[in-house]
Amino acid sequence: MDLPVRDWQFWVASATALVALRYVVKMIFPSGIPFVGKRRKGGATRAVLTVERKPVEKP
Amino acid sequence: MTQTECDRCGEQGDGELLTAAGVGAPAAGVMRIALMGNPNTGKTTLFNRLCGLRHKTSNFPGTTQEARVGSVRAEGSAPIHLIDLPGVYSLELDQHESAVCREVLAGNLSPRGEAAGSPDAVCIVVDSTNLARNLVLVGEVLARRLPTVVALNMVDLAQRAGIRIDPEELSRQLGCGVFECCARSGEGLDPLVGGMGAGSIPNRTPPGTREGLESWADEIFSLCIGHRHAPSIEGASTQNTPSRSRLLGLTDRLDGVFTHPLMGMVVFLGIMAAMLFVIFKLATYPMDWIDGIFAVLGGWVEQVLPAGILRDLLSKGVVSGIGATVIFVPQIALMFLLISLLEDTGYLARAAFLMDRLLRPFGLPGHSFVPLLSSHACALPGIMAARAIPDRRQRLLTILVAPFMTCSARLPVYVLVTTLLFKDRPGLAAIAFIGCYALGVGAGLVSALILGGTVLKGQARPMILELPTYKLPSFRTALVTTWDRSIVFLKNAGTNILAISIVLWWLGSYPHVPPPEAATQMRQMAAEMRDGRLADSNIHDSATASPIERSSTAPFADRQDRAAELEAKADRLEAAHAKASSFAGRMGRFVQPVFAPLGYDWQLTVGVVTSFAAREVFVSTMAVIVTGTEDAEDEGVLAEVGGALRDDGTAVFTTATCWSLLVYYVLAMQCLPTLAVTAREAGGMKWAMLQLVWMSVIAYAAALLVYQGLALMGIS
Repeated sequence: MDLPVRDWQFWVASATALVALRYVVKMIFPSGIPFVGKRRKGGATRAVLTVERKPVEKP
Repeated sequence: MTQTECDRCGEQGDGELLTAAGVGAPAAGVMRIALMGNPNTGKTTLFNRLCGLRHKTSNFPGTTQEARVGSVRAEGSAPIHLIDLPGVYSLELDQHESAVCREVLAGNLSPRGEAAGSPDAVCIVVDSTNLARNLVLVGEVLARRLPTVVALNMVDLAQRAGIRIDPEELSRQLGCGVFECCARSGEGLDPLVGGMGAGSIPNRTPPGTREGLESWADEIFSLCIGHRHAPSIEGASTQNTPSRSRLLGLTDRLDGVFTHPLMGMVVFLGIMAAMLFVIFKLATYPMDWIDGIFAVLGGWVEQVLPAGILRDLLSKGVVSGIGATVIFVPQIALMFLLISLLEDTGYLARAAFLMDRLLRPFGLPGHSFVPLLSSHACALPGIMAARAIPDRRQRLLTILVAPFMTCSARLPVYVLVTTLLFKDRPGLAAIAFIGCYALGVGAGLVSALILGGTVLKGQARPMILELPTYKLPSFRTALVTTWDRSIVFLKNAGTNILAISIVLWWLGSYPHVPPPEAATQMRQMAAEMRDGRLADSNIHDSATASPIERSSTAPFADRQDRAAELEAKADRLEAAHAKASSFAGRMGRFVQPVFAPLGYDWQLTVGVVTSFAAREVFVSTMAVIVTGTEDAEDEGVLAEVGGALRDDGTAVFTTATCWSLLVYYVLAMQCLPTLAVTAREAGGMKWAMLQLVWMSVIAYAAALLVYQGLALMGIS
């Protein structure tokens, strides 16, 4: 397999193609490719309650 | 619709937002006014008249409901942002459009890019020829206690029909401002815009029940009709007006023809044939210009930039990718212009009514007609037009089968294959062409029937459709709509096809392989010929002299021409070899056994595989593989493609292969942008996957049946 790896233009073109590929994948799978990548647990986000930037102590 | 839902769905709605000049998020001091009304009250015409091109088209977050927000320039009042809400008969219906209107008025939903919160005022567009029924929606809005104004639209038609409405009495009864106007001619709009800016909370509260509201509407209607002659808008004559019965009589007489089961169908087929003829005939010219412009642009890029990978990427990936999208715009724009004009006349509602009889047995409503018709230009706007179908199940069915309709991107394949099948018999080629359209429609309807009885099983909702009175279309409204749709198409399809073109260019360009032996030999011969060391028997007829002696005596110009010819052949041979050895070519060779039962060799399979993302690249890919040149419109190149040979020396395009290929391309889902739009509009990737698998299986099975059937009959 002969790829022109010494030619900087090849890397620019390949990066462009990668961005385009990412766009295509994102277009088809807007919420991520099924079964690929990390899954968020339960979709919940832990938050810290603050008042005037100071954490509120648990009662 | 909660904010959480909006945020979640917002991920899928990207790419649809379009910003037109002069419109953005409202600044402080800008009034936001919701424009509402029943369907067919001229709401869109009024919006276009007030905003022109100063609007943006987006959607309501978490929905596929289109939202248009326009900027109105009003003298002496605060700038206005007008939000065009979907046409509804009532806010309380269990329909998508009604829910969107309810949420917007409650301040829970705003068009993407607009600040959250209730609108500052509501403008309800009312059809003056149908006041009583329109007042029900007015009553529902008044009950929301928002500053409200009523636009009495189509007052000219009402006056011509002998209907006289007293706007002052109506204003008293409703407790809000009432303004007569004619959106089509633009009369009465200045007072209306002024009234929008000064709208106040109505001082009357209509009844809360449906029955009470209808009685209230009838009562107000009887109080405001015929009290006295309504002040005439300039230019709209109140004298010598034909009676309402005469106007309605004309509508009835026309409906007698247009909605007649037999005559209506004849008229419908005539109109559709004329429409398709105009689209494909007229669009040819701008398409040729666009093709020429992008060819020049590609050539210019190749001239200006030094030879290299980036030059190839720009000329063959970017420029051709943009060109591949823009070239379809004339057909799509013409299609939308004609659809918009037909809709404005009132005929499209009759066509939908007529088609309901034909589509209903297949589980589709008459509403599906416009999306399916639009899909004949491109499936993307067709699928987006399915938003107008109120029933979710029927909307999904329409979306799933829309890509079966023959879109413009299939035409180059049809042209190639029918030309190969019926060379010198254009009549038969035309019949085959029409057959492809019919096969696509038939496959779509049968698919709707099967899918409607299985994965989308459910009760079909009867179609309720208002047949508006006939009127002359507004060319201005049609132009604005066409512009809007074309921009949305370019934005959606353009970026997708450009990205796909770049990926395909990379896959088709790498890895580099050494040139084939034959090409090297040709170059060597060409070099020797230029030097005069090699003869060519085509140059001279002398049979006595030796080749070298002949070459040395051959004219210099002839030798140079012949050498250039050899070098061009070597170039084409190298290009074809490079394409076949590229990643795309290797993928084609790898999956070739899958397509072997359909009669496809590795060359055809490479064409099919590379056109998986966008079917329009099939012909150009075949041209590169077979001839080494991308000019797929050249007749010589097409003839060369038709004469392509397999590795065993037999023809690639046999009769059976051609039919198999034709059937495959009629039925196959070879368009990634369509998949993406289906996923977004249907509300999930599973629908897009179902569409892909369903169409691919049907296409493969049908092509297999055709090829093997013809082979059994001894037709190879």
